[in-house]
Amino acid sequence: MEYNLQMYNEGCDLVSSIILNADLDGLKNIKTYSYEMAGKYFITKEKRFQFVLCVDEIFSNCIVHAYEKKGGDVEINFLVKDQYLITDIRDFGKGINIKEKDRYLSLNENLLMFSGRGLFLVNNLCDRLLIKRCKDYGTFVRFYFKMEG
Amino acid sequence: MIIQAYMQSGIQILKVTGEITYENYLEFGQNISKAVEGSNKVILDLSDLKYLNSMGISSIVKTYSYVKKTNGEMILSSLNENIKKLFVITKLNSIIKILDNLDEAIKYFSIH
Repeated sequence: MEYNLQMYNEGCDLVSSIILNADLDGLKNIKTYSYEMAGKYFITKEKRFQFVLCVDEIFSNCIVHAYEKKGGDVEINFLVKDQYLITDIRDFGKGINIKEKDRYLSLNENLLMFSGRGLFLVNNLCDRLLIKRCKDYGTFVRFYFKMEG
Repeated sequence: MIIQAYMQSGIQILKVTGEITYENYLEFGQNISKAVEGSNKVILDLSDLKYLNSMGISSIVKTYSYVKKTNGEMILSSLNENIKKLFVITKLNSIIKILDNLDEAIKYFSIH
């Protein structure tokens, strides 16, 4: 199922837009930027931590899964709408297997599995999560955090 | 990320300082695995661990499983509230013992 960005952006105000390479430098940059965003929109350390972690997890997925550590562009948009800070992260790599989405968002029966908790954590920390496989290629992830203060 | 390893009362204590992220989770995993070799009582003191993502969690889980497989036990101590919440959400707190501070963890091993 492809996503329609125009539909998802209705009524949203774009705060900022960045394109980074899916590599370690890109990850460091987006984390730094996310801490700044978190400082503007969240008061509690808990919420700031959770927000940065969600960005980290999705961006890390772009590095490891979307581009298989070969690098590639990642577009990140921060928007606000109705008291929510919305983060969009879009890659142009290997798209997510959308049939497996429910599995990625659930906790494995084997709690001691050695990987695969990233999306589950994001789903449980943010207020809302959307994941779409893009029509051309890549994956679009959007998550919402209610602003504080 | 720094790991200080020392023995106390026959317990291998590993104090982790800093952050565990995509950048260093493999190095972290390798280092703590090496440090726990031959130990059947291990405490991971996370009092100075500021940030941890799912990859860091996986490294801790891997080491826990290794210690368990060799008939040992590994406890986590002194997690900050943000990190503790991650272990609760993933239900790992139902499997891996998490204690509030290092003294409690050392005391646990003196009884068990």
